[in-house]
Amino acid sequence: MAELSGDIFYATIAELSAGLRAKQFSCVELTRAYLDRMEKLGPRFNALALLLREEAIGQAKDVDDDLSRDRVRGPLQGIPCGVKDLLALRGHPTTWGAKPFAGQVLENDAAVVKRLRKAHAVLTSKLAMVELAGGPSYRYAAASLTGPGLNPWDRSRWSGGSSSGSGAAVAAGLVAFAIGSETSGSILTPSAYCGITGLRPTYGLVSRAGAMSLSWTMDKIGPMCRSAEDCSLVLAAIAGGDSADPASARKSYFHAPKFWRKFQDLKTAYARVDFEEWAEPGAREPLQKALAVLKEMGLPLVEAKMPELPYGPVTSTIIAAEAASIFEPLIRSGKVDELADAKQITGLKAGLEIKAKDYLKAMRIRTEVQDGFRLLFSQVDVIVAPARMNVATKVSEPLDRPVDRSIPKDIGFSRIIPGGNLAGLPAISLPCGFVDGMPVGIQLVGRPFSESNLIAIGAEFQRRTDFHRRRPAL
Amino acid sequence: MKVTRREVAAALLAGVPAAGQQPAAPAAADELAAARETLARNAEALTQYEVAITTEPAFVFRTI
Repeated sequence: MAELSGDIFYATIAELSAGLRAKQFSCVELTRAYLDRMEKLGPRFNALALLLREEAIGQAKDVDDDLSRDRVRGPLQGIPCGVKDLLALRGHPTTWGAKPFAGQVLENDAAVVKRLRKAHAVLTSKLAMVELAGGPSYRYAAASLTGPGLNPWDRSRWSGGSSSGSGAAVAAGLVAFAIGSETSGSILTPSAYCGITGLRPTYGLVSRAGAMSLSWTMDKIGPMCRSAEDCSLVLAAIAGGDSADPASARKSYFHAPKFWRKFQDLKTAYARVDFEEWAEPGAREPLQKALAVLKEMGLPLVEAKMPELPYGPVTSTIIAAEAASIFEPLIRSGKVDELADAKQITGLKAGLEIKAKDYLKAMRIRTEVQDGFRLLFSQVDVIVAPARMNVATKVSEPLDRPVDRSIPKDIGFSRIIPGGNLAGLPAISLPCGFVDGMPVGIQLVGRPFSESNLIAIGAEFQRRTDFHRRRPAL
Repeated sequence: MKVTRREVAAALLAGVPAAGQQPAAPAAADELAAARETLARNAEALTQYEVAITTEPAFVFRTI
């Protein structure tokens, strides 16, 4: 068997695909190499929920058989990947990252898993996550069946949540790409903290059938990859209508760079206060440099800010009420007490007490959030903001600790994660620099179903920078 | 009751968190009270925010 070099673990999907087709390595060789690396390093970052060695080797043999007959099935054919353990995989444990569900085996594959199989991707692993995708809230990174997600750039820091294993696995080169999910920040946060490229699709673009529900009205599933172009290739495979998901928008996404819009036509909003005051001091320089790159690319930048609305209370109320309803049997049975995080346990219990008037008020204010973004997107095409205002937190630090610096008065786009999620908007997080060795990310947010604009900008940004190519010293 | 020195040492050590371990969490009753307080604060913030009588809840969950 050919010895595969370390570079292979940081290759893009297009590079791996070219290597497979040119028979530089077989799919079995590639898959074995990724499986061995995941087995060795996955537990080091608490990234691995389940290794699928036998099944993956079987899939890889099928791919080799196809390739030996020149049956080319598309860009994901033979690419080793992992999925967040909130997606059902028939016949295998699907734990949702939570002890009460540690023995759960579901009967059907999630729709996204089916689509990955159809694209002939090789599923090597299920990836660790924060228990119940974070539930209504949690206090510690350790809120997981597999322990705290550890960051490949510094194991004393968190890999982010709730798609913690997906973020760490891509950053450490344990999979070529991963699938994560986001209710409010769970793709963008680990992507920014781990220095990878993550895409949160428009609500309804990717089917959630067979995925754990946390909040029916806010859950989304998306790719976490090495580059914007990889996100595009994966999104094209997993997006599409599905009658099994009541929220399905019945739309598809196509990877079609030749139809990408000119940057001069994409008016881009930013708020100076985000880059000069909201971001932690060390992150300001890389974020401002990223803004300068976007300007050099020809994007017309205009100053703007998001509508001032109670994003925090609205988001918390909606997620807490829906999560409490979804997990009511868990709460009433008392098994909720088996969860790892006390704040998560009590948040779920208290969520059952949310009054209908409060949930409905939150949903009425959500209408205003949507109206506000609709108005903003009648004037601009894209919003750019820091993906997170800080670098990855220390694993031992409580996530709900108060911020130890003054809060700017101007909202800017500082609430774009809850705001964008309430409005179901797509977003992409791009690595844009480092502070003391930890990655910093910038996010682009667009109108519903404008993923191609975000990916086009991201792809050009990554042609001009190399942050997405940097590797942690493992 | 007779307690050995070994048992005393074990009991004392059990109370010392290892490096990197989470700090002691508040008691469960306090946690539940805190969770309820958070919900009450959220509810109050929602009540304070006035919406037009014609504003319906968001039944489509993305801006269109």
